[in-house]
Amino acid sequence: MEVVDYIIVGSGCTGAMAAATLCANGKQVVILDTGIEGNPTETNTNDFIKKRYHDQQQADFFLGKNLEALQAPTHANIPQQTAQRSFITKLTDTLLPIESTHFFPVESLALGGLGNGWGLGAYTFSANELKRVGLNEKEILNAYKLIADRIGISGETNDDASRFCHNNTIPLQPPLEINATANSLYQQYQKKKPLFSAKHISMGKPSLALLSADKDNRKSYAYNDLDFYSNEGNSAYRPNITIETLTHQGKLVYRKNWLVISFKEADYYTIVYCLNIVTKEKKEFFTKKLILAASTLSTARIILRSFNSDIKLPVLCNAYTYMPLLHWPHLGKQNIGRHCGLAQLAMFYDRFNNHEEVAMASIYNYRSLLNFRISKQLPLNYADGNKLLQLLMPALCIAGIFHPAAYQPQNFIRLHKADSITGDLLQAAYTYLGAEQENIHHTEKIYASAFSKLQCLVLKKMSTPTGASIHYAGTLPFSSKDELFHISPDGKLYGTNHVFIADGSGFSYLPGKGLTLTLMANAHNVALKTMQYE
Amino acid sequence: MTQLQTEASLFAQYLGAEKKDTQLQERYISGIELLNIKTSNKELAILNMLVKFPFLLPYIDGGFALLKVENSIRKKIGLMSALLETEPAFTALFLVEKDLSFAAIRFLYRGSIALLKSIIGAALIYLLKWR
Repeated sequence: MEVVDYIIVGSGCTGAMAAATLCANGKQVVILDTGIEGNPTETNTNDFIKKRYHDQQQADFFLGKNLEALQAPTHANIPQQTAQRSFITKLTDTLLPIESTHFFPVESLALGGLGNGWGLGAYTFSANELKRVGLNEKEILNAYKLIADRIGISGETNDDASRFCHNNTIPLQPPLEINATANSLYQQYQKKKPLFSAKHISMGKPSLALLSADKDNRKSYAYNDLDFYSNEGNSAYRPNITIETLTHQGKLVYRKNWLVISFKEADYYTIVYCLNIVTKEKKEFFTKKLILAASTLSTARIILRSFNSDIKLPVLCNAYTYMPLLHWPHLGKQNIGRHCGLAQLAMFYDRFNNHEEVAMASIYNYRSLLNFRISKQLPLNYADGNKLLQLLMPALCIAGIFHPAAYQPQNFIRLHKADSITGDLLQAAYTYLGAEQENIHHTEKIYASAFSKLQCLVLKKMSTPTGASIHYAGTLPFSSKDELFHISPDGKLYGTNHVFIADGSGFSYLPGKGLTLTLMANAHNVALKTMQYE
Repeated sequence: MTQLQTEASLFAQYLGAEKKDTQLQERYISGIELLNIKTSNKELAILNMLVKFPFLLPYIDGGFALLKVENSIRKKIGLMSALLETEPAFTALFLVEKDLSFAAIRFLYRGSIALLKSIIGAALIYLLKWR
C-alpha cells in the first residue's frame, strides 16, 4: 500500500495552484483527475483573417468536423461553445448528473477544468469584499502577488478601473492594446467622465491573465483573434500549462481517468475511493493529506457521499446579464485588423461607493465567433441579414454583467440516491427573488443608461438562466466554529483531520466580478497551511 | 439533380454564391446528414414552391424568422450560410475590408427593407397556411 504525501483532486485553476505551491516546497504530490482532453483541429495558420481569406479547410476549424457549432448547444449556459472547446463539458451529463428545473451550472471533467474556458479576467477583491467572503486580507494580498507572478497578468496601472481590477497590489505586465471599437467607447467615457463618476461608475482596461510580454516558455499575445479556438504560444494562462510543466519536471504525478467518488479517514492516512471512467475499475488511493479542488459542486458531491448525508447545503452563484450593444459610430468600419476576442474594457458600478457590492461589466467585441451565430437569431431573411451584419459587426459589442451574490434561503444543493454511474444525482435550486432581484434590475438599468451615454444602442437585455455566470461557491462556508459541513479558516474540512478544501466552497459571499484570481490565491494559501499540519 | 442538389443550388444563389458550385453542394448534402435535418411533407411542398418561384424565398425566409418558426427550411438556409461564411471565396461578403461611407444610412435602409420583407413574408405564411 503506497501512501503519498498529498493527493489533490482536480486539475483546474485551484488544483494547479495548490499543486504548484506544494511542489515548490518539495512535497510528493499526486493529482487525481478525470482529465478529459481536447482534440485540437490542425490548422495552417493561427491568424483569424489569414484563415478566413486563405484556408480552404477553415470550415472544419470554425464549424467543427461534425458541424458541432451548428448543432443544438450541449448545455443551456454555453450557447456559443466552439467545437475546439466542447471537451470542457464532455461526459458531465452522465458523470455529474444534476436535477434542477431552473439552475444549470456548467461543470468540467477536463484536464484544466473550467480554466480551459476562463475569460482570463484576473481581479483582486477589496478589503470589504474579502471580509464578506471570509478570507484574511493580509494573507490573500500576499498570495495575489505570488499568483500574479506565477501566471502572468497584464493590466493598466493608472486608469479609473485600476482600483477595482487590482488596486496596484500585484505585479503587472503592460496592458494589452484594445480594439478600435473598444477604444472609441473608452474615448467617449473619458469625455463624459464626470457623468459616470456621479453615478459611481468607473471604466478602464481589464487585467487579464494574458501575456503582453514573453514569460518563461510562453509567448506574448499576437492579436490573432482565435481566443475561442486555440491558445497560440500559451499566451493565455490555462491550468494545464502548470500541470504539464510540473509533470515534465518530475515534481508531480498526474493520474487521469479517475473520478473521485468519496474518501474515508483511517488513523494516519485517508483512503480515496475512485472510479476509472474508461475501464469502470474501482480503486483506492492512500494519502496523508487530501486536498479537494474539484470545483464547488463536485467537492460537495464527494463530501456528501463521504459523510453519507442528504443534508441541504447552501450555494452561491452570480446572476449574469448579457447586453448586446451597437456602438453606432462604428457601423461599417473596417474590421480586418489586429483584434482580440477577450474582454476589452471593464466597467464597475459601485452602488454604495464602498467597494463592497460592486457589479462588474466586461465588454467584448464580437468577431471570431462568426456571423452565422447571430444571423439565425435575427427576425430577417438570411440574405439581407448577412448584408446587414457585415455593416453591424464592427460596431457590435457584448457586455456581460456580473451581479454580487449573498446567501438566500431558497438556494441549495442536495445529493439524492439515484440510478446513475455514481449512484446519485445532485438536486439543485437557485432563484433570484425579492431584494436581490430588485438589485439586479436596478444594476441593469444603470448599465443600460451608462452604455447609451457611450453612444451605444442596447439591442437587448438578456437575463441568462441561473448558472450562466459559471461562478459557484459557498457550499461549505468558512467558519471559526468547529461544525460539520463548514471549513476552518485554514481550509480544513471540519469533522476530518487531514482533508482540506482548496476551491471556492468556503466563500461566504460572491462579489460581482471575476473570482478566479482569488480562487487561485486561496488555493495557494490552503496548500501552504496544509504543510503546517505536519 | 436530386432534391438536395436542387435545394443547395437555390440557397447558394439566394445567398450570393454560384448556383452550380458542386463542391458546395456536396458539403451542403453532407451537412444535412451530419445535422440530421429532416424535412416534413409540408416543408417539402413549400421548398418545391420556392424552387419554382425563387423570388419568394427572401420573403418566406424572413417571415419564418419573424414568426420564430422552427423548421427545416430555416435550418437548411442557415447551414448554407455558415458554409459560405467559412469559404475563402466568400469572406468579403462577411467582413468589411475598408471603411464604408454612409454606413448608418445603408444600415437603416437595408434593415428597413429586410424587415418589410419579413412582414410581407409573415402575411404570406398566414395566408397560405404554411405556419
